[in-house]
Amino acid sequence: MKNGFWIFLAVFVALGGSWCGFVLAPELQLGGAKQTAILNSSDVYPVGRPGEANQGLSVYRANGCAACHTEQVRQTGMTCSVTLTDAGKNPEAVTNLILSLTLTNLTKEEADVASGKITAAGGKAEIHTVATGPDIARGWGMRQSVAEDFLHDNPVQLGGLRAGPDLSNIGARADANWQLLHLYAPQSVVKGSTMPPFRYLFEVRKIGREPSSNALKLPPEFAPPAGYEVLPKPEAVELAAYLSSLRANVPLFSAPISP
Amino acid sequence: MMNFAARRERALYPSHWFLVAALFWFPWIYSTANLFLVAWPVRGVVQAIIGWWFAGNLLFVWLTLVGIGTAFYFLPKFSGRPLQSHYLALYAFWTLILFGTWCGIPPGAPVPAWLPVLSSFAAVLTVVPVLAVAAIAWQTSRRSDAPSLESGVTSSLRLEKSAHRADTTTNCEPKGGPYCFIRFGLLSFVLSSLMLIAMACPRISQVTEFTWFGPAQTQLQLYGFFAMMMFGAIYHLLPRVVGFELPFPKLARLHFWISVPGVVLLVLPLAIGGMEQGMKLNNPNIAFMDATKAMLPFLRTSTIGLLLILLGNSLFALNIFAMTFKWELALVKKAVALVKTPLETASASASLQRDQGEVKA
Repeated sequence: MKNGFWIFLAVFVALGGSWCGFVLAPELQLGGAKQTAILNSSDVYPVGRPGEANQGLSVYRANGCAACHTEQVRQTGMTCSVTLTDAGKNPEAVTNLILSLTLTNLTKEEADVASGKITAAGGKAEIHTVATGPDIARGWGMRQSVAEDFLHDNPVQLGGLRAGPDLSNIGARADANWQLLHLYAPQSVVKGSTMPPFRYLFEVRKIGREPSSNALKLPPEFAPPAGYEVLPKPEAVELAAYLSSLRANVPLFSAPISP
Repeated sequence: MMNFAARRERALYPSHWFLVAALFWFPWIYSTANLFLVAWPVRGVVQAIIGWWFAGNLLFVWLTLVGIGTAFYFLPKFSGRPLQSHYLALYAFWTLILFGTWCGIPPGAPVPAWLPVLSSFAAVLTVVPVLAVAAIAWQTSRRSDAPSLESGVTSSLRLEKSAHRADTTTNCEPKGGPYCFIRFGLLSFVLSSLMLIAMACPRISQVTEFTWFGPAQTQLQLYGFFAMMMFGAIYHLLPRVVGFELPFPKLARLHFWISVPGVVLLVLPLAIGGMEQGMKLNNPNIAFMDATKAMLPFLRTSTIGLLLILLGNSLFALNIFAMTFKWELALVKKAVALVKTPLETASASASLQRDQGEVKA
């Protein structure tokens, strides 16, 4: 083995190539990423999380939520839909025209044709782009997740298993109050849920002079015995704030939709 | 590494290549992951990319380098035939580190499109080293006729001139010994790698991603391949290192016969259930709860598999602890004997001094 050095060098280059490709290159491309503009708006995305929600990210991590929940929505395609914005001077004719047309699940060309027909009849129409795919049909999001969605997450917790539903847009589906009830007794709000209850994030204690204002309002079969109340510990409040902050639903250049 | 560079026997065997590359690659990926994810975390989704890269390189490349390196040492030893062939093994090595190191980023990842595309492409090319390993395993371990066995023994003697004396008796070892562990590990390696490659294809990934199919693949790779390979190696090497036989050889064979159904019961339900779950999740008309509830029988079956594996592993632990105890007892006996015979000790130390004197001279 006289050429041991050359073999070592070749191994080094082969392994280093993968390092350059999947560690260095993504860092160079995305490491300096900044907030991006929201389409058709002067706002930027994503805005940083408020302190409590940011603490909740650590609670999310500490409880291993990412083991069963993903934070990434997949999209299989795009379609166009046409909506009437103004019926014009001859509403009857436009209505009849619309009834005869297909207005959803169109390609861009078909949408242009349909909107042209409506304009010709005197109405006004808008073309919307709609993301499609099973995840989106389930209501888990309005578009696919893109790199921009995770700019402020540290650590990024994409998750790899859907033993529970996707959470990338859970903030738009449920409020913090619902989250607290769901964390204490999942089956109280989702019938037949397989999620384990996170009771240790709550405190069951005797009601003092009068019931606390932040005690959970549980249905009778999940409520503590009479004279007791369930109060969320700070961790539970933080986690609920974090979950409420998960909203990946704005249109971006890399994931255009028109809401 | 220094030891390796200073070796006196210059010839290298394929298993050396694999093990030295593993020794070299692990600190690299481990330090990268620690620096960029823990010490100075990078921003945003780059964390996920580096995480996938680390996981892919650790679970697929590193485990393969160590496990297959082990297999390429034991295959010729147990089958009594030289590795079929040396060049194919080197070919598997090069294609593995060229293509395998780029696997790991799932096709649906929320990252710039070139990353998953490149990763899927590399994963499909990884078929080459996997099939090469399968061909080597098949050619080397298949039952050979008497004449070729004889020539095989001589060549394996040649092959192992520097390492160990050829162990021809292992050819007729009872079912369930170390050789069975190694062969089962190789079979699991081929199957789990093919599962990994399938999961990197976008069409298949749309069904299997985010389902229990992924854990099935990981379990087959970790337990079916790597752990079984290491059990085989330890059952074979440990008695030769400490100098006496396994205390309970029957339990070692029982370990094998418990582990095999354990792995099958663990992986098969998860893989089948995962595919069913994926198809259900891809049909938005089926409620999410129904898709999740349909997984429960599969998960219960795979728990039985896990319990079998736990049982098998405790048999392994029993054997190893008993052996360690025996070994330490022997050490203590030796020490006591030395103390009881001071004359002998004195002469021994005298001879030691003489030896040192010779070395100095």
